[in-house]
Amino acid sequence: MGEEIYEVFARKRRGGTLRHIGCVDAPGEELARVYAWSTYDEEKWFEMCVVPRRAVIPVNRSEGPWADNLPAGGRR
Amino acid sequence: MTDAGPSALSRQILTLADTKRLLGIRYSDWILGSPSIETGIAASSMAQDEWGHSRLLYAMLKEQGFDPFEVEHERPAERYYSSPALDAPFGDWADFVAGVVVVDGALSIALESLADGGFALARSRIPKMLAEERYHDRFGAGWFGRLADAGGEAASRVEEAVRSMLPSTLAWLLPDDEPYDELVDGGFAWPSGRVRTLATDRLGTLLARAGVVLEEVAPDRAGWDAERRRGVGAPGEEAVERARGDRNRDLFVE
Repeated sequence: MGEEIYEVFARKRRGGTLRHIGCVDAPGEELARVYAWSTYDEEKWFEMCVVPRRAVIPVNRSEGPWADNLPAGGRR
Repeated sequence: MTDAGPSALSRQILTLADTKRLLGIRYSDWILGSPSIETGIAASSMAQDEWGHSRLLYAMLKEQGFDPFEVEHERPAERYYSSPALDAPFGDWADFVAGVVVVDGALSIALESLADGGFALARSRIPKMLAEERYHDRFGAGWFGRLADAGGEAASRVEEAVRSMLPSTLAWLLPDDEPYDELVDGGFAWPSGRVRTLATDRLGTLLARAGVVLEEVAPDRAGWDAERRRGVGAPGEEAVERARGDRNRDLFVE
């Protein structure tokens, strides 16, 4: 019953900027949605979404939370 | 409330409000000590939702001739109309998860039924509650599936918890009595058959993952108290003291 990290993104208004607001640990997508909504409830968000951390591909940095996701040969 | 007991509509509102209030207390017991920080935060959020909903429901009783303050803060435990499944605290996490799926799930169905009827306050206020309840449903489905699919002790405990709560909750959801018939005839609730079908559609597949066939579970109406729309018993005094706010009585600001 392992968990993984989901990055949480949200925007306050329609057309506003989708911002990274944090992350949650969850055992699957369904609970990640619930945990994100209850954990980051400080705003009345227009839109919120979650992305598994394993799906985030770094572009210009080879260290940090997404470093493990660098494609083969992608390290600079 | 008269000596003859509440009207059919008032009984419906009271049982929804009291069940939500008790469910909020049972959720709040797990804000700390749940399996993860995120889970505890979700439990806290759901507890607050239930209390918010119960306050809105108690307020609806004003139109029915009740004093909402008296209803919220003055009744003894044996005057509560809450579901028997919430009389005692959830003993473990499997109880919590079963409570979300079975009791909270039944509450949402009963709320939908009331909101679809001729009571204007319910039609205007309940949709927002149901929107918040969608996250409770997701929480319940996520955790229930996780425990049921894990097999072993987790699966058997969640099955046991469901089997313990389901018969009394079905009786609560499907009261086979005169006040409920009156409610249906008055256009304030769906007939039992429609409620049962929705319960099966919505919960049947999920419960089957723990080996529970919803259609085979009979409502337990032993000792049925038609006035309180529930079987024998009452919520524990520890919970009712919190529900009434006994320790905060001198500081009430209404």
